[in-house]
Amino acid sequence: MSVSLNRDGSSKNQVLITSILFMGLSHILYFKQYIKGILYTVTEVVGICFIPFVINGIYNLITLGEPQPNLPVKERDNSIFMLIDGIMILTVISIFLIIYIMSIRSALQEYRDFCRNGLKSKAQNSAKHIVGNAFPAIGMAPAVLLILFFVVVPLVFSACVAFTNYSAPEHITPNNTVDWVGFENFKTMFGGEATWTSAFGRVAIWTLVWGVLATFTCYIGGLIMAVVLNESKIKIKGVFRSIFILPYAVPSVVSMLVWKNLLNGSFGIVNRTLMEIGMIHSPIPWLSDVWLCRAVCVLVNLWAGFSYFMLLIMGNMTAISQDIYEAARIDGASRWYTFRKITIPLILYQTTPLIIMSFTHNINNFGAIYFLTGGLPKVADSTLTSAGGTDILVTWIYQLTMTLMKYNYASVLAVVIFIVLTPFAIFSFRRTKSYKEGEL
Amino acid sequence: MTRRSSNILTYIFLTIVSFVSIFPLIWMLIATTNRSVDIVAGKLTIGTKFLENYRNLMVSQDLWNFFGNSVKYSILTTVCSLFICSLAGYSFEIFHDKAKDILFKLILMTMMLPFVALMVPLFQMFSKLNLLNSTLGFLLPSLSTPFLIMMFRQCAKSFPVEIIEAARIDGLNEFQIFFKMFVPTMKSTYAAATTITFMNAWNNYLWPKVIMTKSSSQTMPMMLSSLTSGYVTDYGMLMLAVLLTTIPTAIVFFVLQKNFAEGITGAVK
Repeated sequence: MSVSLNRDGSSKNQVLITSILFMGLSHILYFKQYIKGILYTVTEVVGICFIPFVINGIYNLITLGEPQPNLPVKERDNSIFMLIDGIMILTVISIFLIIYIMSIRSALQEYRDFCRNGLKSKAQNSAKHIVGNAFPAIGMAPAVLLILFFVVVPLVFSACVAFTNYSAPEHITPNNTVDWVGFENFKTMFGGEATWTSAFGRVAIWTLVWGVLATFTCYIGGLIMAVVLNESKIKIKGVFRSIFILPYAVPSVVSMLVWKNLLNGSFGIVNRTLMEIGMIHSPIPWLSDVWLCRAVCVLVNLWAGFSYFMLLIMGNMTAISQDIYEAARIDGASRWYTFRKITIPLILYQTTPLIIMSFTHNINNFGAIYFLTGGLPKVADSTLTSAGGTDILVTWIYQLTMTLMKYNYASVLAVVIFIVLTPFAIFSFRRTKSYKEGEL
Repeated sequence: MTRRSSNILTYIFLTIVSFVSIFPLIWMLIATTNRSVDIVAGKLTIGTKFLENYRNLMVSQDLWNFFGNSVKYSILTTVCSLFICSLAGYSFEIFHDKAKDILFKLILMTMMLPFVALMVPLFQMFSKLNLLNSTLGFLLPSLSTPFLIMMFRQCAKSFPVEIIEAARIDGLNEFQIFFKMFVPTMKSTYAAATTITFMNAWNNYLWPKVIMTKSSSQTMPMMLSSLTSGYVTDYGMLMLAVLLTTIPTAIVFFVLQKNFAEGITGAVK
């Protein structure tokens, strides 16, 4: 079959239609790019073979299976597997569509090249050349696919579960099926049931307060230590610096465990020492009074985290050009004045993205709360909602999942975190230097 | 205030902060040498029960197996994820166009997701794929992280385009440019990335707790948590386990410390 194209651009529609008709067809017919063309064709053939499977999967995704109490457990419909399969199938379909669009765009590109230069030589169509050109795709594919399957798919799953009744005791697979319930869970959480709503309000507010305080204290602490170490004329800076970094290098599960013992109400070394030197007469309930416990969380986090900012700020301070200080000194500025008007603004400017990242990290800082307090002490609604006095949203999600098995409510919270944090993070990243310079 | 007295004040301040920073760790070290009863009674001197604690720990836990698991998982995670993320970050920067930039922003958005939210679906997926209790199962979700991709993308920005073009003219293909030219020049970023990834993998508690259902594939943080969950906690033994959990990350951190701040600040400007 001999096919020829006009080189004046008039065959564009012909190429377009051929490549829409079957993936890779125009590569083979018109441009003699057999390797590329066959790869595309095979992709489409495989895709077509899976159509019945896809239709079945999507049907299951919509119904989530029927309750079959008469069958043995193993043969009943498993709604959760159906949900995951359905999401996987949708993901694969999206990938397939993207490849389809890419193949069409590639065909049109080939046609433009053809109009300019004629058919490409054999060397340009060789496997080696194609692999060389595909470097960015090959380089990004593993990272992107891993994120797609192990972050995006579970995320969509979580978002879906928020609209189902997947929870103990009545809707746990494989014994029972799970059904779509619309916005029921959101209603319960945000106003339907007083206990859940008030627990949610309490935890959400504490999460925000915790995020702000934990970030703010660490930043200020780090700033102070960096300034003291940098400005003072002491000789053994390196020694002090290494000592300060130590807590950061210790795994958080470890440091929280140690602090938990140090602050133990009855035998903790802190209470014991304070009592021995006569500052207090009865033990302070560090970890059993709600407000005290929250303060302890922030302070222990400061202990563990200030050195991170100290290191980064020290790095930034040495990077500030000495010329600026020189100029300021000639103009008669005092050291305190240059510090306030030059050092601080420059450092703030440089470290803003780091502060934002640290804030989002703290909002999701599971270890700092879970290993220190486990969400305790208990408050009035803890038995029903499993949310303790120091629980932040992530540790509450953990409790809801692991102890209560209320996956639907846990998912509602996860959706809330994602919806609240993401625009915030995007907004903040847009304000950073690199973004403004059009790099990010 | 004279320079001398201000210097003394500085020393006093720094010493107090140092003491607070280091005291819990010293307490931990001392506790490894004492019996549980003495620790609870507040003993703050070095004891002689270190070997006894070690023997108790060996008897009650499969210590070196857990330690080995942790080492294996952490090293594999670090090596693989540095490879994958640096390749991706480099590609996103050097070959960027509109479509890739949008993709990159979408990836950044997932950085804000708490892992607890993904735990249940991941568990279901992995149990279906028969990956429970496997090394691959531990690795897969943590290999590609938005933060590392972003970090490597930022550092690729400082990699001069002229060098790449010159290398292309010399006939190097893109893979050779990446492995022979980019990787060796970005040592400090790789060092910072190694520190962060290794520490995260080593400290990872949630994911192994979810998928390592067999006791033989457990990790050090899981062992710590099981040591504290009983009715009676042997504090001497516990603190020894705590010490052993700390040593590897501390070594990695201090060996690569110099490059850490440089690598991180380079990453997010």
